[in-house]
Amino acid sequence: MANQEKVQLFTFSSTFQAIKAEKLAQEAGLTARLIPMPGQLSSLCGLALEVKAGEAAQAQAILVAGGIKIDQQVEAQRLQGRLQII
Amino acid sequence: MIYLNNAATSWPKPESVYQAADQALRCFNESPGRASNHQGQLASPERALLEARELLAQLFNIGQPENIVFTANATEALNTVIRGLLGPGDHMVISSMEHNSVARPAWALKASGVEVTIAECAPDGSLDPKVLEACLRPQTKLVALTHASNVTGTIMPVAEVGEMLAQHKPKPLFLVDAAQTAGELPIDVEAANIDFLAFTGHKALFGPPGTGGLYLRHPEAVKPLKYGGTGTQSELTTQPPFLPDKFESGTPNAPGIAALAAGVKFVCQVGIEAIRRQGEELTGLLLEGLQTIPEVTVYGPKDPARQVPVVSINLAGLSAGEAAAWLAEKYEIITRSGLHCAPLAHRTIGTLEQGTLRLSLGFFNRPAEIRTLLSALRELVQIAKP
Repeated sequence: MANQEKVQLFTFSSTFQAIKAEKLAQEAGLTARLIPMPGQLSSLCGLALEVKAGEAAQAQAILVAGGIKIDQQVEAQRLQGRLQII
Repeated sequence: MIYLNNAATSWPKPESVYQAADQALRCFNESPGRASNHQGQLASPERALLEARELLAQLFNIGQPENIVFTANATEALNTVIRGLLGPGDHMVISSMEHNSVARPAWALKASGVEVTIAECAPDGSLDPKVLEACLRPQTKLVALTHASNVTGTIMPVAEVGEMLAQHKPKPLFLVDAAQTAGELPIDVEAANIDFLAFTGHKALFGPPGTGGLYLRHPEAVKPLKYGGTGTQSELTTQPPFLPDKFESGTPNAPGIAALAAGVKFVCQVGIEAIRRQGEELTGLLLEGLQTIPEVTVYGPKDPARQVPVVSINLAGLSAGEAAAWLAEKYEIITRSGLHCAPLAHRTIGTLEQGTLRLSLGFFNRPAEIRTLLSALRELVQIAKP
């Protein structure tokens, strides 16, 4: 389907962990960015890391190697910009 | 102008610090971790805080950067530990060279049943670890020690005290006030067995005023000084237990911390050993010159290897305040007179009644400035003669 992109979301126990995760992923050359926490995943505050689905395994390995404690890891997709948890 | 008041705040700052502050004020448009416009840009407050934490962790050999929390200054960091750790029945030991940022919160707790013992230092400000050890009791929960005096520059035996406390049963927690040494002397929290390290950002780390921080090895033992919004667990009305959020409520001074990161980077680039070497050389030049003026009384160790670049003096026939004013007006030499918020230290060195004139050098001072100061002092003591 046009304008559809599969992504992977990572959540963390603290903002410090989220910021560090984004830095590690970007330094490894991945297309990673922090987004406001989707309401389906956690509280109304906080940040989640979004990476392309094809880079999810690599991102997970980088985060674990960097000492990041991953809280949740879920598949999602962007349909015309809107995020949907799968 | 010749600026010799670096123990109060360092001036000037490295150019990169000014640039970082300017860029941060122009670019930061969110409260860290709380906004929807975060796009992973390098000039974000989140990244600035992370970078500062990581640089400071590297500088102090701290394994967990998140165990460094930012505060407005060293005073807030010291208050966080002293007031957040101690309760009725607890005992605390401090040295007789402590700043009021330690003495006042300690005294304030006396009313609630906390006992405080002062380990007496020698008249040059030095501390014998055995004197401190003799002050310990079974209920001693905290030992607070400055790393170097803000009055005499005397370097305290932090590593020896840390080692002694590590062997002591039950082991008191060890709080080190690094206001005068962070960025000036090597600090290794592991090697020195430091449980809490309080530091300011605006002295030898070259950050702006309003920045500082605290390293906590045992964050679970300390209650926060402040409670409030953290941008995390916002559905709860209780404080998050994890770091750094537990101790960082409210919007942080992200532009200040970004500038502090630039200052710490400068320190790391120049190298703490090189900074220390230069500080010793300048202090040696100053002490040698002061010894040639008989009307000058020098306090402290009078040994560059045993002090940070802070020297307290008095001039025969002149008050410290008069001397400071004369140096500022006639030579544009900026110093500081008085008690320097450290009455315990002045009692120890015997200057509680008159205070001292403090000359505190910084990384950007040059030997020619020391020579100008010495010439000015020689002229001043002649003028003061009856």
